[in-house]
Amino acid sequence: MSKITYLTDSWLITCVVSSATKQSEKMLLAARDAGAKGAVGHYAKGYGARERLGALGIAVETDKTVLTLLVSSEQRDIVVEAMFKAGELDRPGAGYIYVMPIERLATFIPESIMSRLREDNRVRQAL
Amino acid sequence: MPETIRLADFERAIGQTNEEISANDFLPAAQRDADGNLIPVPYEPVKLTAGEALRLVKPYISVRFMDQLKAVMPLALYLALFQLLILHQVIENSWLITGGLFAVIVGLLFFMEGLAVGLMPLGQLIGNGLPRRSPLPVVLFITMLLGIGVTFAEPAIGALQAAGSNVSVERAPYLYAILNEWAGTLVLVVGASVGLAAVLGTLRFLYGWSLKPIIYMALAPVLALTIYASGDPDLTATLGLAWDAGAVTTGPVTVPLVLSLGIGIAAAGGQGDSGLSGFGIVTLASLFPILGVLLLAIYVTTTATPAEIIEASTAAAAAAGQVVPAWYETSPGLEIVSGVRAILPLVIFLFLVQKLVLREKIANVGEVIYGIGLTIVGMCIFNIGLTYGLSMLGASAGSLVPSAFMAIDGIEPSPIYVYVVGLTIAIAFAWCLGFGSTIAEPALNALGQTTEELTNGVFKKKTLVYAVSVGVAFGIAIGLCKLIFNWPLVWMVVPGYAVALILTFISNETFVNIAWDSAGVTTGPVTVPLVLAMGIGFGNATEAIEGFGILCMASIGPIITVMLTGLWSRFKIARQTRVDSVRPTSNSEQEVQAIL
Repeated sequence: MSKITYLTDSWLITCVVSSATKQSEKMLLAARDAGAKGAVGHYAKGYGARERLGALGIAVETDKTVLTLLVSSEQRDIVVEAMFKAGELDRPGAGYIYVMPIERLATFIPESIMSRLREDNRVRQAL
Repeated sequence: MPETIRLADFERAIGQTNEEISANDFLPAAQRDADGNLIPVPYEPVKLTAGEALRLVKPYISVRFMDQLKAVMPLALYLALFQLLILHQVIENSWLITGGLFAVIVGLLFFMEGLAVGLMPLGQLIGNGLPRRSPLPVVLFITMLLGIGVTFAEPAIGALQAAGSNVSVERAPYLYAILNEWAGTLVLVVGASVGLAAVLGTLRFLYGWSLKPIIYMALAPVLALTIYASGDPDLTATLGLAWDAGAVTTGPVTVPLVLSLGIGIAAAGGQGDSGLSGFGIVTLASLFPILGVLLLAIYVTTTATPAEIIEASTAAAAAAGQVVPAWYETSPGLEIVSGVRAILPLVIFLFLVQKLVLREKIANVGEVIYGIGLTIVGMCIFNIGLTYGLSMLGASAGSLVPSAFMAIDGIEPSPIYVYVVGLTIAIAFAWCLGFGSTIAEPALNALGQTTEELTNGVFKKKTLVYAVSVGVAFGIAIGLCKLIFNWPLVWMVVPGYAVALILTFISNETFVNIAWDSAGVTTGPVTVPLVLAMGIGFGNATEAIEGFGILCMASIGPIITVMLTGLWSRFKIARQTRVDSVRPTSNSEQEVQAIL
C-alpha cells in the first residue's frame, strides 16, 4: 500500500435545484467552464418552500436534483458565482447553493501530475 | 524518567506519513478577461500512463470476463472430466477446443458489453419513443420486423447452422435440406414467427388478455401439425428441429429488446406495469417458431423429393472438392462473414427507425457506435469459438457417451460398462448436465427474483430455480432416452404438452405465466450449442435418424415442474387455511411454515 496523498484547500459545493427544468445541466456546464472537473447528482424530494408559499407554492417543484462538486479554494468563488448565475438562483423558488470546507480529500492522482508537482516541490508531508 | 516522542515525529522519521498537496495546484481556476468575464477553462482529458490505464481497465474487464467464464467453465469442465474419468477417453484436439472455449468467453464478453452499450440504449429509445409517436399498426409492424432482426442477431442461431453440417443426408434428406440449402429461409421463418409472437404478446398486455386461451390457441395447430407430420416418414425427421427451434430463439438479444418495445407500447397505451406485463412474449416466441418451421418443412417436401436432395448434395460435395472455396466460405472467414451478417440487419433497422420514424438525435453516438462495433466483433469471435469449442466439445461428448453401454467403432474398449450400468451412467450424465447448466443461468435468477416479488414471497426464488433445474434435467435425460431408444418425438411432445395443458387449465394465471416463460429463459447461448452438438453427435453414434429434440424436452420439463410446484404450494396453503378455520388458535409460526 502506497502512501495516501491528501488534497488540502478543497471545498464542497452543494446545490439544490428543480429536476424538472434544464437548470442543473446549465449549471454543470457553467461549473465546468469555471474549472470544476466533475460533479455528482442525486435525485431528492424537497419540502418547505412549497408549503410556506401558500397558493403560489404549486409553482415549486418537489422533485429536486442535488449537485455536489469538489473544487479548490481558488476555484470556489468563481464556480459558485458561475453556477448561481447559470441557475438563476436569485429567482424565487429556484433553489440554493452552499459551500463547505473539506478537511481532507483523497483520490487517484495521475502520475503525470504527481511527478510534475514533486519537481516543483509542491508535495508536503501531511501533519 | 521515560523519554517521550511525538507519534507524528516518529512516523515522519520512519517515513510512514502521508503526503498532502494543495488542491489549487492541479485544479486551476478560470481567469477573467479585461471586461471581467470568465475565460472558460478548456476541458482537457486526463492523461494516464500505461500502467494507470491498465489499472483502470482491469476491473472493468475482469468482472465481465468472470461472468462469461462462470457460464462456460463448469459445463466444459463437466463434459471434459466426464469423458476423461468415466469414459476413459482422451479428448481429441483438446488444445483446439480450449482455444475455442476461450474464444467463446471473449466473444460473449464483447457481445454482451456491446449489447449493453450499443444496441440496448437504441432499443430502449425506440421502445419509449415509438409507441407515443406512431399509430398502433405502424408500431406493431415495426415490432414484427424487429422480431426478425433480433432472431438473426441471436448468437445461438449460429448453432443451428453449425448443426446442419453434422446431419447425414441419407438418413434425413429433408432435415439436411432445411439446414443447408434452406438455412437462410429457416432463420427468416423463425424470425417471422418471433415477430408474430412479439406482436401478439404486445397486444396481449396492451389489452390485458389472459395467457391461458392464447396458449391453447397456439398449441392446438402446433400439436395438430406435429401429429400430421409424424404420419409422414419424410417429415418425421424434421420434427425435432422444429421443436428445438423454439428453444433457440429466446436468448440474450431477443428477450430484452422485444420486451422493452412491448412494455413501451403497454405504457403508452395506459396499461402500466401490471407485474405480469413482461410475461407471455417469451412463451409465444418459443411456440410460434415450431409452427413456422413445420410449415417450412411441409413446403420443402413439395419442392423436391428425397432422391433429388441426396443427389444435389453429393453433386455439391463433389463440386466442392474440385473448386477451392473462397475465403468467405472457409473457417474462419465464414464465421466472420456470418457474424457481420447477423448483426448488421438489426443495426440498420434500428437506425432507420430512429432516423425515419423517431427523428430524435441519439445521445452519445460515439458510445453507441462503439457498442455496435463490439457486438459485431464479439459475434465473430463467438462464432469461431462455436465451431472450434462448443460444437466440437459437444459433438465429441455426444459421440463418446454411447460407448458407455454399446459398442462403437473406433473406441476401445467399448462398451465400457455392462449395458444397464452404462445406460444408467449415460442418463445420469444427461440429468446432471441439465441440472448443472440451468441452476447457474443468470436469466433464471432474474426470473426467480421477479417471481418472488409477484407472489409476495410465497414462491421463493430458490424454489423456482430448483423447480426449473429439475425440469430441465429430466427433460434432457428424456431427450437422450429418445435418441438411445429411437422413440418418435411425437410420443413425448404430445403427452408432455397435454399434461402441460391440463396443468395450465387448473393453475392460476400467475403460475401459468411464470411456468411457460421459465422454459424460454433456460436456453442460453452456451447451453444451446453444447446440447445441440451433443445430441447430434450422440444421434450419429447410436445411428438415430436425427439428433434434435433434446432442447424441446428441456423446455417442456420446467413448464410441468413449475406448475406442479405452484399447485403444491397452493394446496399447502389451502390445507393450512382449512386447519386454521377448524382450530383458530393456530399461531403465526405454523402459517410461515406452511408457506415455506
